[in-house]
This record gives sequence, C-alpha cells and structure tokens, in this order.
Amino acid sequence: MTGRDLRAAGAGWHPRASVTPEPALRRPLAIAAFALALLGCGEAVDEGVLAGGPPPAPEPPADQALALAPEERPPDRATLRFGVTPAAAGVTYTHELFDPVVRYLGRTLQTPVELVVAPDYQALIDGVVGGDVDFAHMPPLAYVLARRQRPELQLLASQIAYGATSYSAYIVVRADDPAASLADLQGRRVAFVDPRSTSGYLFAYAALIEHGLAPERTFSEVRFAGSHMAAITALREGHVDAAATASGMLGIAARDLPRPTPGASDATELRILFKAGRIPYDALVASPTVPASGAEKIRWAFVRLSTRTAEGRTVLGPSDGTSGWAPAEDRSYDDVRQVLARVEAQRGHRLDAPRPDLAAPAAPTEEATGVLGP
Amino acid sequence: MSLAPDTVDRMLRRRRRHRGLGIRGRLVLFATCAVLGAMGAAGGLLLGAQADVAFDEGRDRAAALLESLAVPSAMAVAQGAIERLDDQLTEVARAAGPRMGLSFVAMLDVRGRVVAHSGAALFQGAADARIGGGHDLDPAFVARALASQRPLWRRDRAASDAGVLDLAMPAVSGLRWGTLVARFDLAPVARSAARTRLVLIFAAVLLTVAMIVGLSIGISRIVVRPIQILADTAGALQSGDLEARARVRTRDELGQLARGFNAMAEELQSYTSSLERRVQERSREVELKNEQLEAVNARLQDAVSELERLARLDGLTQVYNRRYFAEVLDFEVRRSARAEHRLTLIMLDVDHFKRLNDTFGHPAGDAVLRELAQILTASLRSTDIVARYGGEEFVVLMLDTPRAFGLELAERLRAAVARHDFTAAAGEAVGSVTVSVGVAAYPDDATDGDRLVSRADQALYAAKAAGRNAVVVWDPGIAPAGAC
Repeated sequence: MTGRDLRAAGAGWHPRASVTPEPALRRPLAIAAFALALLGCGEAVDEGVLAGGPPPAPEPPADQALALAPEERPPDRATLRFGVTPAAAGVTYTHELFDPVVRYLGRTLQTPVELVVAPDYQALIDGVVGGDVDFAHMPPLAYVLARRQRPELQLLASQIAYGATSYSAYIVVRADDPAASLADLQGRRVAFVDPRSTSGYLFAYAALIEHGLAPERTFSEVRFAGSHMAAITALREGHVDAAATASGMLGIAARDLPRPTPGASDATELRILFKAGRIPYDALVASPTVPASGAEKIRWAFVRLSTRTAEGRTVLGPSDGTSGWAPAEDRSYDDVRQVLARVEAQRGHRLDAPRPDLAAPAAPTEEATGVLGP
Repeated sequence: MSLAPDTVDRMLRRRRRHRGLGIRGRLVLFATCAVLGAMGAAGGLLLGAQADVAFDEGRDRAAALLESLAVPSAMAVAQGAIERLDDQLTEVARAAGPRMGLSFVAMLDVRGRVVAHSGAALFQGAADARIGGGHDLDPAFVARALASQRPLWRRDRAASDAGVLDLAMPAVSGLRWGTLVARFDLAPVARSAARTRLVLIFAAVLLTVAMIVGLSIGISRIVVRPIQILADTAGALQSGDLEARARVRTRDELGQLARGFNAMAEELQSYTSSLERRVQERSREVELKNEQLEAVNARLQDAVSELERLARLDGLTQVYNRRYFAEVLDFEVRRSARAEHRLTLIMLDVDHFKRLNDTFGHPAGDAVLRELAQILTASLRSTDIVARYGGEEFVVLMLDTPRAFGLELAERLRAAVARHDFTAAAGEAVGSVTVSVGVAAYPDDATDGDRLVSRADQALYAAKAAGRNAVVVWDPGIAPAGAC
C-alpha cells in the first residue's frame, strides 16, 4: 500500500458516499461515520497507484536520431548484414517479409542494410557466431545455442507476433487421425521442422521424452521438413502422421497453403494433439563486432517499428503477424535453455555439435533441404 | 455457641443490605459496561475498517478484471483488430456491468485516443480525437495514466451517490500498446459493504450479548457463587450449625479463602466441642464429688447415729444406759397415759455381786454382767427396753404389758438367770448367779416414771430382804427403801 493508499484508508467513507442503512441502525452508523469523518479529511477525490499490473515496457527516446555514425558500425563494413532464417516459409517468402524491414532500417539507420537468408538454422547460428552477419533475427533455440557459443552476443529485442510475446509448440495431427494422446503416435511417421527449431523440434522432443517416447525409437519415420509450412504440408499430404510446429503457423497454413485439388487425399483440417510450453518469440541479436551504441540504435530502430504507427503498419504489413519488437532480456530465454538441457541429457550430445548428429536414422538432411523453397 | 440476639440481628441486616445490589450485580454491571465499551470501540474501528476493506476489495476486483483484459486488448491493437476489441469490451461491460458497476471500459492508444469503447462514447468522442476525449474521465488522470507504467486508480465520491472509481491499466504485450481505462460505479460495492455492515453489527450485538451473558455466568460461577456459599456457611455457623462448611473446591483465592474459612470453622467446632467436653467432664466431676460427699455424709450420718446409739448404750453390757432409759421411761409413760396403755417396770439386781467380785476379780464380775445383759435381751421381747441402771442393777420397761404378765415375764427372767452357768473370763466357771427382781406397774402402782422406778426399787429391796433370788411385786405394804 502506498502512503496515498494509507491516507485514503484512514479517510474511510465520506458520509455522503455511504449507503443509507436501516433506520434503526442509522444512529450508531452516523456516530461511527461522524467519527471517521472527523478522522479523515473528507476529500471528495482520492487516487493512487494499484499493485500488480504489467511489467514495464521501455520506450525508445522520442527524439533520438538513430543514424549510425561510422564508428558505430562494425569495423570495415559498409553494409550491415541482417541475418534471418527461412523459418516460416522459405527463402522467397522470407524476402517478401523482410525486405520492407530492411529498407526501413536503411532509412532509419542511414546505413545500407543487406538481408542474408541463411539456408537453415545452423547456418544462421554459424553466421552470427562467426561474425558473417552483424545482426540477426534468430529463433529462440538458435539464439540460445549461438549465445552458448558466443556469450558476447548482444540481445537487442524480442519479436512480438500477433500482438503476443510468446507462442506455443504444437504437435498436430490430421483432424480425422485416431490418435488421442502422444502415446498413440507409437510407430507412426512424424515431421519436425529443423533440429535447431524451438517449437518445431526442441519443445516437441522434450514433450515426447517426458511422455517416455524417445523419437529415435518411437516413430517409424522421422523427417526434418526444413520449415513450418513444409512440415504442415507433409502432414496434410499424408507423408507423415504428425508434425511439430508453432502455434501461429496453423492459421498461416490454412490461409496461404494451396487448396487441395479436388479428389486429392489432402486434409486441410488439422487438430492440435499436444501443446507444449510457452516460448518467447525470435530474438534480435547483434554480433559482438557491432559497437554497443550502434547496437542500441539498431535496438531502438526495431522497437520503433511496430503496428502502433502508420509507418510500422506499412512496413510490417507483409510480415504476417509481426507486430513489432520489444526490448528484451536474456533471462526470457531461460525456459528454452532448461528444455534444451533436458533434451541434450536425453540425447547424450549437444544439439549444436557439428553436423554428424543430423544424420539421424530416418531423417536425411537432404530431404529437409529439398522442400525448402516452395 | 450463641450470640447475643441483637448481634445476629445486626449481621442479618447487613447481609440483607448487601443483597440489594450484591457483588454479582456490581460485577455484572461492570462486565456489561466493559463489554459494551470494548465492543463499541472495536465495532467503531471495525466498521470503519470494513468500509475501507470493502472499497479495497471492490477496487482490486475491478483491477483484476481490467488486468485480465489488458493483454488481449494490447494484442488486438497490435494486430489492428480494433473492431473485434470493441466488440469484446462491449461484451465485457454487458456481462460485468450490473454486477461490478462497470460503467464503461475503453482502450486508449499510446496517444490517448479512444480506439475501442464498450459504450457509445467512442463515436461521440471520435469527432474530436484528443487526449482525454471520447470519455468523461478526468483529463489529468488520463494524462497521468498514459505516462505511467503502473496501473492507477481514482475515486470521485461526488460523481454519483456512492461515488465512482476510475481505473487505468497499461496494455502491454512486449510494447505498450495503449491504456485500458474503465469507470466503475461504487454502488454495488457500497451495497455489499452495507450488507456486510449489517451482518457485522448483528454479529457484534450477538457477541456482546453472549459475552455479557458468558461473563455474568462466569463471574457468577467463579466469584459470586463461592462467595455466596461462604456467606451462607457463615450464616449457618452464626445460627449455630457448626457442621456447616463452605463447599468451594476451586484452587483460586476463593478456594483458599474457603479452605481457611473451613479450617476456622473446624477449629471453632473442635474448640466448642472441647469446651463442651470440658463442661461435661467438670459436671461429671461435680457429680462424683457430690456422690462422694453423700457417701461421706452417709458415713457421717452413720457415725452420728452410731454415736447417738453409743450414747444411749451402756459401754460394758451393750444395753441402754440409765440416762437414755430415763428419757424413754418418761416418754413411754406419757405416751401410755395418752393411749391408756399399761406398762410394767422390773428392776433386778445381781445377788451377792460384791462377793463375786471379791472371789473372781472385777473382770469376772464384768463378764457376768455382760452375760446377764445377753440373757435379758434374749429372754425379753423386742419391744421391751433393757437398761443398766447402775452397778449390778438392771431395769426393764415392758411396753403395753399389764402387771400380771410383767410379773410372769420377771419370774421367767429370774428362772433363766438362775439356770444359766456363768463363766468368768478364760473359761473359769463362776457358777450360778441369781438375781432379785422388783416389779412395779403403771398405772397400777405408780402414775409417773420416777415413782414407778422407786416402787420397783422398793419391790427389789423387798425381794432382797426376802432372801434373794426372788420376784416381788410392789404393793402398798412394802415399806419404802429408806424405811427398810
């Protein structure tokens, strides 16, 4: 309780404000009210700050110029390299989504920005860790893995999508699938997105092992589709019986994926079989080579870009769900780290170890990359 | 044990006076005042606090409602789903309005413009989209709310009967997407507060009554009853029932008092009973002494009568002496004169007693006299009075005996003596002893005692003169002794 609250509590009910009680009770109440009125100052208005409420949302300084000075850029770099993944739907689509953002950044930072679409999550991690990209839009697990290799990475912000700061990992099946629980997936075929995907692999994997189902032994076939849309497509077309994906992807899939041709055995209706955890959206990360003040300007350039403004709505219009970016702290991704630790303990090796682990029994990487570009 | 009646009366009067408003009455009065005072003070504070609590609860409920709407509202704004948000807020106000007094809820964007509103105000305010427009919230409050990262509240008591509560909740989803504001009428809160207050007052009254009753019973049981018992016991003790005890068995001071009181009563009882015992002992002692005294008295009486008897008897022969005989003779002569009875007096004398004494010695003479007295006593009737008249001379007064019968008795007597073998002391035989007897009768020979004696004496002399061992009845022919 604040001091103001205490004062308000002491003031009690203003006689005018109290409800008129039964006549028989009026006198003692009147005396009590009178005493309280004597105690209190009898102000008509009191106000205060409520307990609770949302966490504070930092705003960029209103009139700060965000143009990057030469010394705020990475050394010997004329054009900033902005790394993204083709997570949602492949390279071309990714360009469609991010090109307006890149143009906005160029304008705002007064610096040329180049979009680098990594072929897969590991490539983006390698790019960020190796300094090939200056800042990157990284899925949560990719960020956690990259940060583990390179703790100097600067977390600038977290993406806000569909107005939310976090999403869920789903394991989905076709609506007419008989499976009622994860255990019913025994011996079935399943599609993950990418071994570095948070919702499309890590959280689903963790959910499976929590239910005593080791993916390597449980399923007759495991494939990495490469993107969420590819995984959902594989499910819809009957190549697999279940797919791991993110909560926002079903709506996009329903809207964007091609209608099934009449007579084809293509099921558009999907059903959420399992919902695993809440995952913070993608992390906006700056390479350690970007000077801190430059990274700060990049951060505010992103935070300013939101659907709160007309410009933001224009820039993010094609982004399909991205509402903006909010300043973030590394501990938001601690949940991801915990799940990662569980999965790595189960699998017996680190997820960010060099490629050999991708040669999982029934998951040839070639197939995954093969469905990348639609 | 007994007390002076006026003391008892005074005590009773005092007790009665105390009963007017006794210790119970005063304690209950005190307890009632204390409970009423405490409950009044506590009730006043409680009612004041209750009003604040009711407001705080209402405010927190309203804040919770608003906070639950804040993130969805932020997400709706972020996605540009304003129409949907407007519908949602309208539905919320419709559902929660009557129950929570929600007048309206509105979403303001970061610049303070109303983007969604549960009522019609959006469309009124849309015309002049300015900060604080589109609703009738206090502009300063709205400005503060837009600048604040924390939820704010504002109560205006004057705005309606029960007052209104305005809330502002930042709508944050990563970024600040706007501010949710709402106005709540406090009437439902005030109504529930009034209901609670009624219950509180009712409960307080019940509690007060229960406490007073409980305290009264407690005081009565713990304090007054023991005291009453003590007082009653004291009264019983006063009125003499020493068995009375205060039956208070508590371990408190009253129990202590009762134990002390009982110990005192015990002591009093034992003292009284010992006193009684001593009185009894003493009276028994007195009785004993009386009995002893009576015994002594009796013995004394016996001694006296023995003495009297001894005074009447002759020491040697154990027959009456001459002095007593004189008394009896006088008395009997007078009595016989009145009753017209006859008396016979015989006088006898041992013949040759001087020679006996000289021959056998004086002890032998005494023994002869004692034996003679025994023969006289044995031979005569119990009504005959035998006395030693002096020396070896005896006299017998025969009551109610005419002269002829007296003479016969005298003759029998003389013969008995003559027959008897007298023994001296140590078994020495004395041999025969004879007596001479003179007889005179009343009223035949004399009409008074002295003359009767002297006539018998004259007759005795006559018998002596006639040769001894003889009986002679006086007749006028016998010369007086002096004349012999």
